[in-house]
This record gives sequence, C-alpha cells and structure tokens, in this order.
Amino acid sequence: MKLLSFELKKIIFSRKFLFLLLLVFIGISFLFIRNLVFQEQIVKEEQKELEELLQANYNNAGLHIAELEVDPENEEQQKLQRINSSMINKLYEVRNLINTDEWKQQLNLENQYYNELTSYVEAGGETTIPIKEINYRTAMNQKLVDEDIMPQHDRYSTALPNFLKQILTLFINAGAIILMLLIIGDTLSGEFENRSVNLLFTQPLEKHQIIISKFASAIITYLLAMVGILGFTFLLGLFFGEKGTFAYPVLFEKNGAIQFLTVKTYMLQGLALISTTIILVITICFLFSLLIKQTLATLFAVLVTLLGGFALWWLLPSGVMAWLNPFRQVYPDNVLLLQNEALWYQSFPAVFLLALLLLGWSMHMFKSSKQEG
Amino acid sequence: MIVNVANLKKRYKKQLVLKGINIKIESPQIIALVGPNGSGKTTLLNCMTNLLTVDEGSIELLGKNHKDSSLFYDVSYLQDNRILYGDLTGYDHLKFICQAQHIDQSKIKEVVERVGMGSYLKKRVRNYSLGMKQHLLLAMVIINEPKLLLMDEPLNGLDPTSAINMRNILLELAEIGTTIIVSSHNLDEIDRLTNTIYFMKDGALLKESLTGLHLNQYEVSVSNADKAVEVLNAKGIPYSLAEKGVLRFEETDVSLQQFIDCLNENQIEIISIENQKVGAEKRYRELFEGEASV
Repeated sequence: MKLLSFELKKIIFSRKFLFLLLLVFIGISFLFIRNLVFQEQIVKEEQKELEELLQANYNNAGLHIAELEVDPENEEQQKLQRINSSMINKLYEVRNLINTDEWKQQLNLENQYYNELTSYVEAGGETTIPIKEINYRTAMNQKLVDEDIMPQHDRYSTALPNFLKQILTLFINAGAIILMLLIIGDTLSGEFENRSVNLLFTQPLEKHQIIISKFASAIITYLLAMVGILGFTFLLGLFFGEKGTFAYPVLFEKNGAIQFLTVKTYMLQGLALISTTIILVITICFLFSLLIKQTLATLFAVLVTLLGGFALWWLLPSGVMAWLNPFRQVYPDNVLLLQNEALWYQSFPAVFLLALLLLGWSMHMFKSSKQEG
Repeated sequence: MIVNVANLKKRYKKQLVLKGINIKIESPQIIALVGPNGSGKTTLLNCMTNLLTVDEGSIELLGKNHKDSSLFYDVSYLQDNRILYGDLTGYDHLKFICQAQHIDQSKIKEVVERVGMGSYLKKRVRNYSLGMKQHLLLAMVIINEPKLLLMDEPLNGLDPTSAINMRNILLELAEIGTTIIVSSHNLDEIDRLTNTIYFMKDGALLKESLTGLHLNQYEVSVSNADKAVEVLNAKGIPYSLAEKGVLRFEETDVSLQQFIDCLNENQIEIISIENQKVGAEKRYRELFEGEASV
C-alpha cells in the first residue's frame, strides 16, 4: 500500500489533527482536575440530598400527624406515620456514616431506607423519587455490597476505572463521531476543493487504490486518536487517581430486568459499538464528499443522515428490526444500557453491510470522478 | 506518435471551450502553448491528462489512450501549486512520487540537487515561497525522467536565476529526448526555450502557429548577389531573395556559420548580417492585437 503512508501522513501531520488532539487532552485534564477539586463537593451533595429527604420526611410526618389529629383511628395514616418515622431514623443513621469508612453499612442502611420508601409508596404515601430510580439505587447498592466494591461518585470519581469510563462514555456517545468528522471530514471533499486530488489523478495509481488508502488511513487515524485519548486518560488516572476496580458494576436493563456489566465489559462493548459506527460514518462521509465535493455541505449532510438514521431507533420497534437498523449504534449508551428486546451487538451485520455497500459505491463514483469546473 | 490529439472538443455547461483541437507530435521537441487568459491552454492540458472529461475527439499519448493511468510512468504534468499539501514536506511529496512510480528513493537527492531545493526539502510546504513551490513541482515532474512533460505556467513565481535554471533543465531534458509542452505567460523565456509555439485563442489553435516561428532568420547583404545565388544553388543551401543584394537565410539544417563559410570560400563579401528574429511577443501582438494580456 504505497499510498497509505502518504494518506496517513496527510492526516496525522496536519495542524488540525494535532490541534484537536491537544484540545481533547486539555479537556480530559480539565475534567480530571474538576473531579479532584469536587471531592469535597461529593460529601456536600450527599449531605444536601439527605437533608432534602429528611425535610420531605418531616413534611410527610406533619401531614400524617395532622390527619391523625382529625381521625386518630385512621389505620392507613398510622401505618404511613410508622414507616415515615422509621425512615427518618434510617436517614439520621446514614447521615452519621457519610464521609466515614463504613460505606457498606451506609449502603445497607440506604437500601433499608429505599425498601421502606417502597412500602411507604405502596401504603399510599408520596415521594419525589420515582420507583424505577429507587429500584436502580437499591440494586446498585446491593451489588456493591455483594462484590465488596467501594462506591464511586457518578460524575466526580478519580478512581482510574471510573474516570476512564467517564471519558469513554463521552467518547463513544457523540465524541468520537464529532472528532472524526472534524479530522477526516475533508479528507476527500477537501482534495476536490483545493484541487490537490489532481496530484493523485496524475500518478500511475488505480482510483480504487486511492479510496481504499483514504479509507484505511481514516480508520488508522481513528484508532490512533482512540488509543491516544484513552491512553492519556489511563495515564492520568494511573498517576494521579485512585486505584479502583475494573469490576465496578454498571447497571443496565435487559428485558425489563436490572442486570450488571463490569466497567471493563462496558468499555470493551462500547468501543466495539463506536468503532463499527465510525467505519459507517467514514463511508457515509466519503460518499457525500464525492456527491457534493464541498466540505461544509458534506459535514452537514453526514450529520443529518446520522441524526435521521438515529431517529429510526425510536421509530422502528426493537427486536427483529434491530437487526436491520444500522444507525441504532450512533448513541452506544442506549444500546448498552437498554437491552430490552434487542442485544447490544444486534446491529453489527447491518452496519458492516451498509458500510461495505457505501464504500463500493464511493469507489465506483470515484472511478469516474473529475475535477470539473 | 508522442502526442495525437484529434478533433478535441470540450464544453463547460453549454459553452464550447475547446473547439476541435488537433495536435500531432511525432518527434521529441519543446512546444509552447501561448494565448490569453481563458483561451483554453490549461483546459487542453487537463484534458490531455484525463483530469477533465472530453466531450468529443480522441487523445493518445505515447501511443496509449490518455485514460490509461499507467501512462503517468512516462508522462508528467506540472500543475499549479494548489496540488501540494501544506502540512507535508517537500521530501514527503517526492517520496510519494517515488513510491507511486516505483522509483528508487536515491533519485530524490539527485533531483533535489538538480533543482536546487536542498535547503528547504524537509520544511513543510506551507512555509514555502511561490518560487520554492515551483521548484518542488519541477522536482516532482522530472524525478521519473518522463518521455512527455506537460507544464502549466511553470515559470510563475520564479526569480530570474531560478527561471534560467528551469530553462536549462528543460533544455537538458529536451536534449535527451523528452517532449515538453509548456504553457507560459513569459514570452521572453518561451523565445529562449523553443521556436515552436502554438497560439491558442477562444479554445482553438491558430493556424499560423502550427508552422512554428522562424526565430533564426537573417538578412545577409552581399557584394555580389548574382554570384552568391549561383554558389548557394550549387551547394543546395536554401535561401530567398529579400531585395536587391540582400539574401534571406533561415537557420534550419544549415547553420548561419556554414552559410557564411560558403560565401567566404567563394570570395563573396558579406556587407552586413541582420537578425530578423520574429519573437514570440511580436507574433503574439500580431495575433492578439487588442486582446487581454497573456
């Protein structure tokens, strides 16, 4: 592949690529510093949430007392009052455990509180936390206790696996697509715009070689960017973060039931999803480049196609149709965390098939492509 | 046949921009394409190299259809500097040409020295001046020692020293049998390069230009014209009579020196020799009086 190294150099030695990568590294560092700085904020947030819950419970207690003053024999109110009092006691116990090493006891107490909250709602009481959220929290707490894994904050964790997951979540959900469109969006249309494609056209090269080299170099660029970004994040977490564990649970829904992935599995599956999606994005980008031959219009058309395709996820029913929707993976978090009636890898064949089709179409178009005008 | 362009027509939208061009080049030589802006010079070169589609007619280069990409092992095309990649170095460009054309990379050093771009070879092209870019473009098209070299405005942005250097390189290439078709605005340089100039106007090659220019024409005033005519006829040296006592001689197979020697040997006194050179600029003015600048 005599062209590949040339095509690759054109992208990775470009100021744009280096600038974008630098910008991403700065963003990652900023997030990590934010997480470090916000460690105290985690305790404050926990305390604030607890105070809000306590306040809600006290308000409820006031209501129950008022009801019972009117009707002291009201059994429902008596039951609610009893559960509410127990919940208040639990919250006080939890409050004493915040910011201590007794995290297991805290999680167990929280779960007892959530169980009572469920009973309270079932007995006719009201709460601001939706039942689904209560179930999620209870399951997550239980999983952490069972696996003996210390809980980490969703947003402000500095533990290596959790911080890596935080960055990877941003990367796989839109980040990688936006980055790749910015880096390789003009790899073909730009050549027509500034006529540098004429250099390639006046060499003894078959035109399909040019497209394949550009395709391969775009994929290698993606892999380099991915390794660079995750490698940088890994090193940041390794040297400045806490150890954590890659077995940290990630909760997902499968056919309505709560299940768990590990952070490691989430990352591997997420990367598999976004990497296959990127292959599709590159081929869409190539096709529009050849049709439009203008970078901004090409990028706009690609984005519209991706968003339109993603809308299919909502329009088409899951299940069998998930096999046919190549755009289902555009937002991998949905695919990984909501596996109701469709498995996470179910769209792979459709993605590969469409990518292959578009690549073939691009090669055919490029064969007769000229720098007219 | 090195170049065979037959009835080439090209349209942009509905406008005919090449109106049935015919070019036949059978032996290696340097040919200049001259004409005002928009006359179709670049379009012609782009059609010949298959960068533009042809609406009618046929093009053969070195006996092959111009669509055959393997032609570019033997055909090079010097285009405008927009084809260069600003983020890459001159070396990257030359290395790519070597890889694409299966040329030993040791040729890079040779061609760089020949063109004189050693000092900035490894700098990014975005930092090159216009002249540096022209040097790189020249290096890129001669590294494969082409049999046919097409050049679109190669002298743009070159300082006088670089222009002389480029001219010398082109003359050297012509000497070893490279056919060069060059479009240029620099009529003085064209004069120094070749006496075969194709003038283009409104997408057509002008008939006058197909015969080429007589750049080396002399008017020789002699003491005895009758005797001179007799001697020259006997020796088979071509000439014509300009006026009484004045012979018109054009340097072709017989050089001016041989012409002079012939007269001297026969004791015919040469009173004066006047070079009647018809420069490209003069002919251009004749053809394009009142046209936009070249």
